[in-house]
Amino acid sequence: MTTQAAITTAGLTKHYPGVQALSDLTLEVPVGSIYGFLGPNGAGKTTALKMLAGLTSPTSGSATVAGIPIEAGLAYRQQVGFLGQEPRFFGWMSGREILAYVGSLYPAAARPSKARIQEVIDLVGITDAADRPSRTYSGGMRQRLGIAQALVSRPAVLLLDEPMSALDPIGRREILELMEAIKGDVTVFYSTHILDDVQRVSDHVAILDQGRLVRAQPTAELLSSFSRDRMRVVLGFATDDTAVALAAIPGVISAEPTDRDGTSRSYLLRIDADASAAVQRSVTRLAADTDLTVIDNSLVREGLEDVFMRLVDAKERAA
Amino acid sequence: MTATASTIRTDVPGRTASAGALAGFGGLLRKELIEWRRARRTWIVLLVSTAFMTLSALNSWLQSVLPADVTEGAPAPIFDPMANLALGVTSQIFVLAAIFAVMALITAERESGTLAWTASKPVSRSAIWLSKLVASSAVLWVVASIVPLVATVALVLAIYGPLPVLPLVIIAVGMGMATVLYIAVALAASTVVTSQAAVAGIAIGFMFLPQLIGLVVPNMELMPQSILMWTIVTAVGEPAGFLPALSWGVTVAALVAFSFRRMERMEL
Repeated sequence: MTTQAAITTAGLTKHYPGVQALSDLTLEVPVGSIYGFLGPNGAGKTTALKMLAGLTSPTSGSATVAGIPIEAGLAYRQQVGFLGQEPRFFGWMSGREILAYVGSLYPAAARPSKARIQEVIDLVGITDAADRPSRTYSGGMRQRLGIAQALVSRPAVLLLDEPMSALDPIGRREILELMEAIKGDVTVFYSTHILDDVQRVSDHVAILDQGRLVRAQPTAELLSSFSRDRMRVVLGFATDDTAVALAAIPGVISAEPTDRDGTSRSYLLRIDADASAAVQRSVTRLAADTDLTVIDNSLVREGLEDVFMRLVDAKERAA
Repeated sequence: MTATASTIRTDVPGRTASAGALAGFGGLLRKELIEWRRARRTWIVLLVSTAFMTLSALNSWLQSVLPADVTEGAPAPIFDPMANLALGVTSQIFVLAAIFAVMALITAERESGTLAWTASKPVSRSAIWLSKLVASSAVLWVVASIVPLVATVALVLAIYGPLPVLPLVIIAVGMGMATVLYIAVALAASTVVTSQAAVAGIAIGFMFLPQLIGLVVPNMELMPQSILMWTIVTAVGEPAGFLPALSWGVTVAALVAFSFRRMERMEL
């Protein structure tokens, strides 16, 4: 049996009394990808991940991991390695014992060997602490142990709920590096509200807001789609009439003066996404015709944070 | 909404579901037993139960050696070995110790997230609950019943005289049955309420229910709480019928079935 996606969800919905936690989530997560699941607090990320981990039943809709439907229960959960938000393990167990314990919960044929446990301990970088009680671990070490226990049985998919949220910058960097290290071996689907992290490691991103999917795209594609409709234009010797002339260019929706530095003025142009090349040529022509000096005439490169804010704001305005 | 380039196999050997409603039970039980072995509460239960049961059996002897003005007004001391042993057993300290020792087993794990973490593995939730019942019943039977019983028997032998062996075995079994019953009640309550105090309250309320409704319920034998008294009566050779044992069996089975159902439906 083969399948095209590591995770699929179709119309996944969760309704609690008085709260629609998640509405109609339909996603496909490509095999081997690092998939960032973005959203503000209360957007429904944890609800979605708990459903995918088999901890909470969906009100409606369906999900599969490696082609196995969530209803398969034990067979489904064998495909999933889950790490909850701010994980806690049995503090009296050492890291190694926790991994052995997790292994003991799998059927004999899928049980990880001692060598596999050591391999995962080395991979996540807790070798020196592996035989210490886990209650002595720092937040970053506990998170790395969390990833180790999720990985140890070689699942098809890792589900990580806010794996970086409680960590300091060093701990965050370590987890990001770990995620990059395991990329390709396993599909990682993780939730976060730290947009820089998503931009750094995720090749795909889904944005969730108020329980609804706002956008799901490859990260680069999403960013570039939002980097075609804004231009920054800086012109030397511009006058008060220049903004009007810029706004009159076909394809320009608005031209807003943003800065003034000596003889040069800066403008932010909102343009039709399909007209960027034509607008750039028109700005150059306008400058030549009116004796202005073109200092900058480029598309604004937007970060994921800008894109996220625009998508969420637009959705809230529409609502 | 993304296209994918590669495929994954799902027919990997060893990835078949472990069959049965108790998948993962072996690993879960092993973990529970190790946890009991390492936990401080195991030793506390052992010390408290042993101290309480031996002191209860020591009462008559203390009365006889203390000056008369100190024990004035107290009932006359009894020197029958079995009666003094029964005093220690019917104090039911081992039941209270068991309730307090297990009241956090599920609620604390639920609160900390370790229950959800375990449930995300390919184990059945019924197996999680049953592993706690089996491990805690076995451990608490030993540390809260058998060890204190052996210590009390030794004391009784030294002070009051010999005891027959068979009744001791029957009493030990009865203490085990009572332990299983109250642990099952506490763990079943843990699938409904989330606070440790509420779990303890429900289990202790269940324990004292016969005293509360004894005046309106004509046949107390029907209540499973009478299992300990039933075994003591049986141990001393009095006719005791079989209703308490039946009631105990039905109640434990109902608690297990109820808890399995609650666990499988629990939102974690």
